[in-house]
Amino acid sequence: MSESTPVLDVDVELMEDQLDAILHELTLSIKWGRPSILFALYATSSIRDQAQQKLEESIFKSNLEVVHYQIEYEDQLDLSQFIADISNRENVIFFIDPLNSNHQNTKINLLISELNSCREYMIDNRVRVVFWMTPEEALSLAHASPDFWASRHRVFEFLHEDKNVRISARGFEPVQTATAAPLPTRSNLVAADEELMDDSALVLDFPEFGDSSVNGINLLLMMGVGSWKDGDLEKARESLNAALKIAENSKNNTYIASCLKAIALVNSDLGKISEAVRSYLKVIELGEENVTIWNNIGKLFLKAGKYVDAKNAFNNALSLDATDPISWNGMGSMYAASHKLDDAVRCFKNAIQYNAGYVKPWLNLGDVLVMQNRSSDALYAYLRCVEMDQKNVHAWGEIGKIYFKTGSYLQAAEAYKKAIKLGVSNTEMNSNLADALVRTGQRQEAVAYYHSAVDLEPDKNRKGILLNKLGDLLNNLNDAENADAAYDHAANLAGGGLLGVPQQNRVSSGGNFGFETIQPAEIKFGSNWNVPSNHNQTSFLYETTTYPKVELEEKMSADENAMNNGFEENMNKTEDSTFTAMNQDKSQPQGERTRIWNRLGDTYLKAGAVDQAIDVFKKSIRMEPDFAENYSRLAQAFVRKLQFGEAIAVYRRSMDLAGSDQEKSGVLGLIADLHIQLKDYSAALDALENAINLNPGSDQFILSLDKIRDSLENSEKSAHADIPLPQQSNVLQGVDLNVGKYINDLVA
Amino acid sequence: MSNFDYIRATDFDRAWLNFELDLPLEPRPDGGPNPFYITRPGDPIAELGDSLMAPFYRPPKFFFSGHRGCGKSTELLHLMSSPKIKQKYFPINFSIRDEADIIDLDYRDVLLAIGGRMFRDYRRKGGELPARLMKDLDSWRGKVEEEMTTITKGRVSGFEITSAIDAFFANASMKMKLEPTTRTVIRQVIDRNVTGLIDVINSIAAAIKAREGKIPLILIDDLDKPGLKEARSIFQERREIMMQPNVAIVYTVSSALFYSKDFDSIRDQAQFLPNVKLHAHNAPNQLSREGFETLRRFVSLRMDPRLIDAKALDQAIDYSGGVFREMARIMRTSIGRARRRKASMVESADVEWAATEIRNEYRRILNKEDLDLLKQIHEHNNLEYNDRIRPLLQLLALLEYRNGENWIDIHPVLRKLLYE
Repeated sequence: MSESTPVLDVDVELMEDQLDAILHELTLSIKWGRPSILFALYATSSIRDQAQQKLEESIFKSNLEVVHYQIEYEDQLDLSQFIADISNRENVIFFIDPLNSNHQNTKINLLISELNSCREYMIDNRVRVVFWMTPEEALSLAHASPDFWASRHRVFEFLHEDKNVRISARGFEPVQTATAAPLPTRSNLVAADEELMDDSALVLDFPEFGDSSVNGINLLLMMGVGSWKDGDLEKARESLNAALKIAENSKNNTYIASCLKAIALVNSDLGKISEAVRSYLKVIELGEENVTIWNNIGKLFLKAGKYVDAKNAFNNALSLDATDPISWNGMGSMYAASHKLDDAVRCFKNAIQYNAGYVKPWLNLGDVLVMQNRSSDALYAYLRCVEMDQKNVHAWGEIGKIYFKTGSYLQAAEAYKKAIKLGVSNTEMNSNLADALVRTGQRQEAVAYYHSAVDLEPDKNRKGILLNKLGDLLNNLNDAENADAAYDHAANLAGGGLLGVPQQNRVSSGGNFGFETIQPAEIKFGSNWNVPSNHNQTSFLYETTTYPKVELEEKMSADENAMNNGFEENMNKTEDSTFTAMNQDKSQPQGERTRIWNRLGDTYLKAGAVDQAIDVFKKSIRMEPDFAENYSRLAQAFVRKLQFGEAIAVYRRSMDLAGSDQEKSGVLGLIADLHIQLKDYSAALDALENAINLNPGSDQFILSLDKIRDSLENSEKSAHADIPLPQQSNVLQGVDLNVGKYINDLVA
Repeated sequence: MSNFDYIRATDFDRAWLNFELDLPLEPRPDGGPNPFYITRPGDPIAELGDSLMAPFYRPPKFFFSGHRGCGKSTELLHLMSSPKIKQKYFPINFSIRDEADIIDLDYRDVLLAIGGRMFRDYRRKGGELPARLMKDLDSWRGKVEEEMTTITKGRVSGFEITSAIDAFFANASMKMKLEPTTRTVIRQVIDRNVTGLIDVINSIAAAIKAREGKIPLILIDDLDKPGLKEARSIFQERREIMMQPNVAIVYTVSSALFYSKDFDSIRDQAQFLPNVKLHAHNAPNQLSREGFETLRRFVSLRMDPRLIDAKALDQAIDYSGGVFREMARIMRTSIGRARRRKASMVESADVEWAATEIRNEYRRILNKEDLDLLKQIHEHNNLEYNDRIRPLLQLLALLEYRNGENWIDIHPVLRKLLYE
């Protein structure tokens, strides 16, 4: 046995090492086309997020995709089906996550049962999957399903609390506290990218210290890490400087470079940007020049507001690798911070071009597009973000704002709820959500969010306005007592001044603001990157302007035009975007060209944005009018809007185009269901008869048929009792006559 | 798994692949053993083979059990390819997962799978059944479909158009597996006349015997995957019915069922595939040369021995506890680490690393009572099947060995955890 790897007697491995190990496992399993069932244990959700983000970045760099299966967002747990539905799963790593975030998931037992059933599927189908769980969940899993536990391939731990650190590993564990990150805003994009810099900078690559002469370096580095973990940065710097001295005496450039990189990190945390940059530059002088180091330097300059230097650093990184998405994202952030928005957009698009699965540039792009008042394009970018990262609170918040601005209150409410459910909450979000709920008739639910907004609002005057709104709402809900309490509270805050509520609004005075007073002011998106110093000027909440109502049809049309002409056109300029390429390449298999549009439509549907989904699905149909699935999707969206007539017509076209009798039969079954909804039993019977003829094995259709016949028999009996038979729905009259024309009109 | 190349690795990448934990070791197309197959000490599967070769009045039924990853599927495949077995039997091997939904498994599903697979496999291999039997089977099929129609009160059943019996069985299998509603209906129909289905199985078996001169031998894999409740309902509550088919059957059963008290009455028909013994009972320092040699062979067939330090290999074997899956896990983790540190061979530090990782996994799932119990067991090695021990056996925190009588010991990686 070689003595080259001194291993301290420890129980935990550092995050970077664990990530490296997971990546090796996944890389090899992809290389050989074999399954991989990995468990990742984490101590806190922030640690999990950090680990996932880093792992995802590495995975994306390998041109692979990450698909999240988030239990809390699934209505019905069917992991096997979910995996089966992913067409390119050979290039996908599945993250099953979270098993039980905040211990609120009541489906945990169901999940465990589900895991048992899908284990063999995952092995047989060579699925690569990482199950993220807390130690408590791991314990539950092992005891509830020992067979599943025994089937794991490997378990990795991300438990930062452990003080026992192994220094023979290759990297540092980043110093991160387990506090929830504040909600980023578009105006702190630079700050967000500084976080990115810190993360990336932590990817060090320490050599394995092989001989006893460098054990001192080893120990000092360990002490440095320990101090760093304890937040004692000065002490960390002391230890690391001592390690550097020994390394310099050893005249081994690799050791010196490792120490310098560690020192750069600590200096960065200490806010000593110049010193951190100097350390990195020394590393480059030692011959270790790479993209990561230049990116880190660029981010440090960006943090310091030295945009020209940042640009030079990112340029240096890009001269080493012109396809590095992190460099392009950094460059984009630099331009954004310099108010060169068009250049920023171009850079973010380049980042996306080189890695469409990299979330940050999508998010940054969304922020810049918002500033350019291109809200439709921004919405698309944010939706892409949440498609890839459903936990992105910033994106959900922005989606909520855009929907709110365009009058899509239902969708706005859904988006805000997601953001709040993810643990980020502020006055504006709660107030907007409450307003959206009021506008969609969910007044009772709105009360709680006004309360939250009031609680969170530090400013006395704004609190008073919110209390008045709450009072109005409570009045409307006939809760005069609490309404008066809210008004009184507002009056007290104002000292009986301007914010006091006019007596006529009080129920006791016979007056009521009604809901006309709850008018959100127009959202004014910021026109620069700086955090606005005067919050009143940017927040719609405190303005008196009534939001101009946007006609839905106009909006849909505008959005579509924007999608077709604006964003897509710009993306075309980059000469490579997934969906543009798909649009152009008509030689691709059926469905492939519209796949990305359909995914977008699905995302809209999932977010409750049915109108937008319909728009997108119509676009898919125009792009691939012969692909049955496109029509089925559109029909599903119509069903969500309870537009059954339209849904039936579109399903019929889908049935005509379906490839097999079995598929046709399935669609007919859906048509029959809709006819039943419309109480058009005769048409439902016809559809079911046809479905059964096409696929005689469909027993559920036979059962449905029996049910309808029973209904009809009962109806006949009722008829004898002078009760009229159910009438054929008027909705369908005319639809059946010329389905083709109807569809053309619908889609055109 | 036909596209897997069973090639001995000369580098870490390939070695990582060869130690995949779920790698099935199918025999070669010519019936020869898989290149990675090794014979265990004492050749425990030979005992099952001998039992099957013994003269019988009625075709025998056996229960085959073992820990997850101990090699049950491999041994079944190996048994099926044995020339003497093939001489006496017409072997049919299948996984119940291909025929039914293992989450909702019922004795009727298993019986239908036996009949269906026997019929389909025999026909697929070119076998012809007598016209008279085909007529009888068609008549039975007609009755089943008629009853299904009655139950569903429907008109045309999916089965009506499947005039061929092959299609009937294939269709039934698919529906049992995928369609819960139809599954319920089929079960109701079978319930009305279980003996009818047994007769069908027996008739097919008799016809195969008459034509081939061999009795069908059904080896059903993955019957150990359903939960304990389902397994009990099949093998305890319906044991008599499961014994009725006039064919030889090897049912796999889970270690949980095997360890349950209810299983005592049929334990004489059961074979437990033991782990490879690495030391003597109650004598941890008295190492088994044969056991170590077996696992060295396990490694050397998959990987060039020059890729691992000899001492590290012995350490890995020791930590594996003689469980092949655990050995593969330790090797794979060690190889992964050696590969990451760009080493040329796996060394002791890599193996220790792997052992620490596994130990940490157990640290998360074992409580103080578990650890106290494990400590006691480690001291006396005596096996008692009780409710406290059963889950620990399933989690492989405890491993069972046979040395005249059965005995148990803790997973070797846990030693450090118990005494730290």
